[in-house]
Amino acid sequence: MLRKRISWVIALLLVVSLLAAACSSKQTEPSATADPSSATSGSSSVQGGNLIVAIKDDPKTFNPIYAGDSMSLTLGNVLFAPLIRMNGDKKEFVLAESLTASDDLKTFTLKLREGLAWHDGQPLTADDVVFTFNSLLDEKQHSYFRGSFVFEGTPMQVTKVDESTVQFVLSAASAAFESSLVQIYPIPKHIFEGEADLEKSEKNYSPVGSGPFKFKEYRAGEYVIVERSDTYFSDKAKLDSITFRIAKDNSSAVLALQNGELNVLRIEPQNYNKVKESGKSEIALFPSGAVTTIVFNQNIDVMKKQEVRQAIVHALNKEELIQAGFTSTEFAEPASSIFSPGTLHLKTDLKSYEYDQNKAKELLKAAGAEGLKIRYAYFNASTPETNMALYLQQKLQEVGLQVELIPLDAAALNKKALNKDNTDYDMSFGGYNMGFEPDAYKVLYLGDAAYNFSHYKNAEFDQWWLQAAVETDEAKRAKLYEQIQDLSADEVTTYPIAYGKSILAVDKQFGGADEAGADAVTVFDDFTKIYKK
Amino acid sequence: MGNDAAREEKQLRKYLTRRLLQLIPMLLFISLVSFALIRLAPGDPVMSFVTPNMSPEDVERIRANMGLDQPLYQQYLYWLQNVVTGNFGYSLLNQRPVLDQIVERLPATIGLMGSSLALSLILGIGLGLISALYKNRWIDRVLSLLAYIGISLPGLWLAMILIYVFALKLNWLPSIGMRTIGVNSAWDVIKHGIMPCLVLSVGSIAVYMRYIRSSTISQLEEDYVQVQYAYGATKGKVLFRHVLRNVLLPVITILGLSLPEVITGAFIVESIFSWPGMGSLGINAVFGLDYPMIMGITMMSSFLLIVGNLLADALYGVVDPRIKAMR
Amino acid sequence: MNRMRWKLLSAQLLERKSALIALIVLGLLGLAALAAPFVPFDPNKINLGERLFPPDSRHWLGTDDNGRDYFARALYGARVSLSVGVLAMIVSVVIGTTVGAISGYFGGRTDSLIMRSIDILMSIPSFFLMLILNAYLKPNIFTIVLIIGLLSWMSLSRIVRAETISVKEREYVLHAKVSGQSPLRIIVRHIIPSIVPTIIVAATVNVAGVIMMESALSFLGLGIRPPHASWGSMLNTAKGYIGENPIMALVPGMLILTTVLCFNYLGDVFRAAFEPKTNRR
Repeated sequence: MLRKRISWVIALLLVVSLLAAACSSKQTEPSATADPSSATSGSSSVQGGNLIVAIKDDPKTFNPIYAGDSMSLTLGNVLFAPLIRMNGDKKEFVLAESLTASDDLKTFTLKLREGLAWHDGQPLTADDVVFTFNSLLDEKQHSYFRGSFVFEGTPMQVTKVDESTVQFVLSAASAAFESSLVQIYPIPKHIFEGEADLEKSEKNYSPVGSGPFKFKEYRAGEYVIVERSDTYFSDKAKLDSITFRIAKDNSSAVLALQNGELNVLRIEPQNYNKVKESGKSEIALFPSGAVTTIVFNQNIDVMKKQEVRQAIVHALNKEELIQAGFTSTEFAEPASSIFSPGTLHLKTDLKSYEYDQNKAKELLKAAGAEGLKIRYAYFNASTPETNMALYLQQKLQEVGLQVELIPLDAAALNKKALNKDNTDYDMSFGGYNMGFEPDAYKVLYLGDAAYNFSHYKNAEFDQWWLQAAVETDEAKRAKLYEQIQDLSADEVTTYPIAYGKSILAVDKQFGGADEAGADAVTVFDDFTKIYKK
Repeated sequence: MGNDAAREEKQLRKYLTRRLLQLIPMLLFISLVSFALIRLAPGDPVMSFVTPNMSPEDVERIRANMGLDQPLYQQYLYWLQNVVTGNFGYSLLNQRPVLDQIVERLPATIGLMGSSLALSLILGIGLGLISALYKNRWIDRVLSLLAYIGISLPGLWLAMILIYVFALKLNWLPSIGMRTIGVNSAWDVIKHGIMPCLVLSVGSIAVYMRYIRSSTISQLEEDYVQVQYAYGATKGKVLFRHVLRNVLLPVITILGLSLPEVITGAFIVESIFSWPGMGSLGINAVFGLDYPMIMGITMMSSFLLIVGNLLADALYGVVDPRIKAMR
Repeated sequence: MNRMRWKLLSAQLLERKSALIALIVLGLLGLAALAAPFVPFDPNKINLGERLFPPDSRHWLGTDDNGRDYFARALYGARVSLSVGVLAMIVSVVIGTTVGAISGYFGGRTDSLIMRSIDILMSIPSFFLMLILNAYLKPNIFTIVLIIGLLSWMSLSRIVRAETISVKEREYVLHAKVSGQSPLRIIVRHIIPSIVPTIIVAATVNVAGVIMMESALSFLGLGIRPPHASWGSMLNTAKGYIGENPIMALVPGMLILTTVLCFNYLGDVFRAAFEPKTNRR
């Protein structure tokens, strides 16, 4: 009797639990359009198809003025359109038609295109742009981009001139204003007006944007589906829809790529060969704009000695270091400047430090730092950093230095790194991707900047940065940035190791990857160019 | 006779009510301890939101927005106040309500763990009985060896092997996620769930199997069984009519204790298979120092453990009134 | 623990060949761990030109993603995993026995309080506790031992408590009570010796759990720090190379499986040996 009861219970458990998993999961705002999988399958039509793109985790937000992580930025880029876009060094006007600057670089006038519309049909006008910037600048809304538009302590003024023209008035000249503007994707005023807290607003769960794709469905932990917006002002997308699938584990993701469960995946160097051999995907290798560096903590006395730093750098073979971290120099180019390739005013012939163990030992002796003990911190979940740290430890040991490795998780590392008085470790890795505008790098190199991980303070150095930010003469600007790069290479408080490359695998079923422009953060700049073969 | 039974029932009810009342102070205490532990640990969730463009004031504004600038005891009281009204706050990582996210992920986790539990029970009990009936014969030996292997197998390793064989080489099963894009069938979900479920169940099947086996064997040697044999009953009959009940009862206790596992999920398995359950939610929360989420998940897990224990004890007492439910 | 029990135990072990095999295997692993320095390769020496080699006459188990000799790493990993296993088990046993014995002996309010506290501890998801503890402690091997020990004593204490309760009603204990000995003395001199068999059984099984937990810690990034290896951390690294070099994953997995299996099996053998009632299998 009991046995029967128990076996019933068990059977019921099994069925119920599986059904629960299958039929559930709170969906956010499903819309009544066609099921993407019903798109033309395998035929040679260029229209249609669903692209499955892998993302590492759930996007933190669907609101672009709060987007900081790559998933949110990727989705923001697809659902929303920016005012201007930079493709390498080519400027492309998207929502904006033109941007004119005054001679003193303090007033900028932006003209929007005609006939722009949001996904819900409402027109996109200067009102929306003004609303976006005012929300950005509103302290209560704590947007992440506020700092970019505050000049010498004063937020800029945004005024509507007419239905399609907006004027920005800055309190100080800014040569880099345009590059700051590139980050901004307008949000709809008619949706968000009156919301007390834009970040927590429920309107974010069914985002209305102006981009080439509109929001369809979000299943937490699983995927986000967006579908083509036929009201997009420019070239409509060829794909019917894109599914951004959450794939947390890298190794399983690579397998899924080979299975066809994923179509686009950013892969690590160690998987390159395997994916290439499988022949299922085209692999795009492109500079990601990232710069990987070794940072010497200037809060530590011995690290203040230039000979010590130079000695350490001489003890490392840059090619081998890159090999250790990135498998081969194919996946990361040796770096010389603190600016990434493609940055304006990049200087290429800078002081370099050849691999020379004897020189290293000499310098250490001169500085009285033989047998020094070094604490080296790095991000424990990063394979490149782990492997480079190990290599470094071995190499430095060969010149008599003892390296203690300190792997830390993201939160811990972040906290220590951002602590201006940090003395918990002597050296660490640094990495950043700041884009083409050299002024953007100052947040990493100004003496008091939050992200100045080396805590290097030099008043003259700072002056050059600040001057270049407001310098209207392009030639003088160039000179200042060259000086900056020269001094950095000489002082070597931050030693650039490599310019990383992104490796993007795209299923051969899909074409147009070249035009779409692979991007290290948002996967592709322009998904409208992708089509199913 | 009737009086005794009635009196015992009353005792049971008193006991249960007492335990239920203990629930509230226990939960309160747990929340206090968890809060203290989590908040006193070094780490600052605000840091994960800092971008290069922010000034120190911007950072402080974010901190205030998260409610993290208040003194600790005030933060705790504020949290408690909200919880009592059913508001578990907003996740620091994605600004969505904690409760919503937990509820969203529950079905996936319950589905996976539930089926794993069911599978473990069915196979565990079934194989255990077979082992006991054919004690010391070859089938028993084989099953025993498999059981030992089962409890000693690292889950991560098994997952890797399964993915390699079934997803990569044979391409029979999908390797990530809970469903194929655009497909909304239960069978699709089940296909996705087979491997994670297996990885989770292997250990439990082995545990139940061995437990049932030894329990059955010792029951079969008891006097009351010998009496039945004397009456001419076969082993099988005896098993199903009398022994099974005594063997299965303790299983209830084990079940009760595994309830919190059902909810927090197996974080390793969920991570490898990208299964959208509570485990991965929990890991993200801890690594990102998402305090409200951590508190939410901890409270739920504790609640379930206590309730699970309670149920186990109650069931034990109800199902067999001969057994004293009092400790 | 009286002599008769020991005799029974050794008789059991000798009789059952499989138990003997398990002991020998463990012994061999232990010896291999001790013999690690004899391997001609440095387990931590990076050799970028020799990555992911399959096994050959030089590298018996091939090389890993950094060109390090895998055989050497496996042996040094054995040192870490086994010593973490044993040490953490000791921590578990010490804490678990103390708590369980106190709880069982004193009963009443104390017992209730302790049991509820254990419930509370067990209700917090294990990975939370792992990560939180890790945040407080300095990262080194002792931290790992401590964390694992602190997370695995609970079930042991329950068993000890149950046994204590049954033992404390025995005559010699009552006798000791009546003769005025202090509770501490009674627990240490009378109760614990009587439950040693149970503790041994629980401890053996505990080691198994500990070794598994060590690989879970590595998964979360909390385990042993590079450049040192443990079987758990080796398993985790191998995850990324499973297509290219399955040996990397196979070796630590098999080692963990074998070790844990032997401990579990021995635990059962001990249990059978110490309880003549269930001896008839």
